[in-house]
Amino acid sequence: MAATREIAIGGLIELRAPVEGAPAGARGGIIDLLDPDRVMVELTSLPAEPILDRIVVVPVGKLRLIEPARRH
Amino acid sequence: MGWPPQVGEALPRAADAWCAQEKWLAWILADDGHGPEWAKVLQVEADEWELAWKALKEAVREVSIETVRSLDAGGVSCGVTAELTIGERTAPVVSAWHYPEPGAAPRLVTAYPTAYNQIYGSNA
Repeated sequence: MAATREIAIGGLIELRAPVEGAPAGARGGIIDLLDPDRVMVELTSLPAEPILDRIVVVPVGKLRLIEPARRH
Repeated sequence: MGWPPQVGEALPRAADAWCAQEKWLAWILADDGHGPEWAKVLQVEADEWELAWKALKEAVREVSIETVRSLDAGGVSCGVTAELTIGERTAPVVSAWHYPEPGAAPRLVTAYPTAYNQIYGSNA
């Protein structure tokens, strides 16, 4: 389970399970923090269009953090 | 204009669209996000995020919604494609916008240049 303190916009993630039609293993980045338990991600491993198919809301427990967000 | 937004309509309250600076710096123009595409296609770097935001916000006022999704988390998301001109370059940019509730202003979710070729009607 991804540590909550590491969840930030720009962090790179992988889905541990299917979410909203997106397959397990899909990868992308965290784009919004909705609440302590859910984030919005953009799955860049999916086709570029339609854009909304790449945007899913994911419980933090269903994410594997590949790389924390870089400081900018 | 009713709710939810419909494909073919303009983005509701597009003139009031908003975004967080962090979204541009940490994702849209970040190296791990869509930074490489923005740099390659429109020559926009991270420190020029306001330029890109201004161009995008203006451009989406003129286009029609292409896709709509209701989110399990609440609200509705809309996808649009708009031609952006920044400096001497012009390119189509696809963007996603979120409405948390009816009547809300659209919030930018993500945006990136797309390879869509209008002349040939394909993504080639």
